[in-house]
Amino acid sequence: MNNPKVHAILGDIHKMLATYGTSDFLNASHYPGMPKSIRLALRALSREADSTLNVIGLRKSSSSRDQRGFPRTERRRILELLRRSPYFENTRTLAAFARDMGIKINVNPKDGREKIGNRIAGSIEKLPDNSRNRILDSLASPRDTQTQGWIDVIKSSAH
Amino acid sequence: MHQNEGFNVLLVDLDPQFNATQYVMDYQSFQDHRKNAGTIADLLLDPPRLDLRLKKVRNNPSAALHAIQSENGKKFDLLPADLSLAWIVKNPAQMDYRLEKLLDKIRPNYDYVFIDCAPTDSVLTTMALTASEYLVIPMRPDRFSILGFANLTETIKTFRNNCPDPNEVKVIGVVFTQVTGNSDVEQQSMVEIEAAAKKEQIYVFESSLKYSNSFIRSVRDQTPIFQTLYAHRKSKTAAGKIADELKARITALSKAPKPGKGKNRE
Repeated sequence: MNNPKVHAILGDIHKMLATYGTSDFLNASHYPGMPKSIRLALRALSREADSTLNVIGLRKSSSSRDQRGFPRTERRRILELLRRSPYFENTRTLAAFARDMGIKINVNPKDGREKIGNRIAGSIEKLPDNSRNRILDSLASPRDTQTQGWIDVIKSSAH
Repeated sequence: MHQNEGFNVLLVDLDPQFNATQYVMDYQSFQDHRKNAGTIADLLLDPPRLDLRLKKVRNNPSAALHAIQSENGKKFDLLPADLSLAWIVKNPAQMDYRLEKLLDKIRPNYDYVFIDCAPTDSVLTTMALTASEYLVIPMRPDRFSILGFANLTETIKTFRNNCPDPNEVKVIGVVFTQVTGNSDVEQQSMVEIEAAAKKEQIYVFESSLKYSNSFIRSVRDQTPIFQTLYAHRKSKTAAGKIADELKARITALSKAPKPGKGKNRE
């Protein structure tokens, strides 16, 4: 295909990937009022920016996939979203989040936030696209964190 | 009262749903406050183990207060609540006078103390009535409010019959809220409530709070409506007019002769 517009689009995308990093695209996807389709596109660019780092050898891991064959980047990205969300406040809010999303995970009394968050991220990663995107939307959406924060306070008080 | 008149005001949240607390505090500040200073539930309940934080608060209840605003040396504080207040409703024994005793330690620092109660009759309502000198009834003009008004008047009668000093709580009156002003059904409800109030010799405020989307938005923004840029002037000044009428009613009621002394509690 020799469409000049296609070349121009691809050129602009590569320029963006060369200029901005993973977190830049992720932050842009958090912008208030962002249409869902654009948010998903920005997250895809964020993933691409991360795999670009992989290509030029900045990642320590020699394998881009974990033992289950999933790209390591996806789970880390989900974990990063979790860390930034109000649900990462403590282990109880994390467990409540998993419960609300219908995600079953084992939580041992001595488990810390990182361990539980990692398990949740792993479970989200394996979900079908629709379910995964719905959950990622709720993690990344910047709408009214106060309301969500208060809901989490109430839930953690009730248990 | 604080904003317009510069009074020292304390808002006591006595509702297990703790909406008043959620309105004036962000959830992060609340979590820090609950962890370090406690809530009204910590002051009223007897925990199985009194840790150092609770010892400090029990000895000095002012430590549990959250400063909402302070201007020219005048303060507007909150005694926050949380969900654990529901425990008192489930375990009401020997609770009636606890709030009064608690507030006796704090109230000298304030010109006005407002206690926000749930609209249901429970030990919390009894505690609030016991601790109060006046009662004001905010009410939406609808059918459920008419029924709720009947419940409330019975609650007040029961309280007065059981209370050692029946003159303690004076009803300031009913103030209508969320009035749209464009519904026959609403107008009819207001007429019915006014008739019921008249029968019980309860005053109905001339000022009311008109319905406004700005109220909903200001709750979301956790900002008093008169401090927002988007609210209509009439919405902003409505609360001030109600406050003026409230003060006038308190003045009138405090001058009214007492019908007769009741039994002493001691």
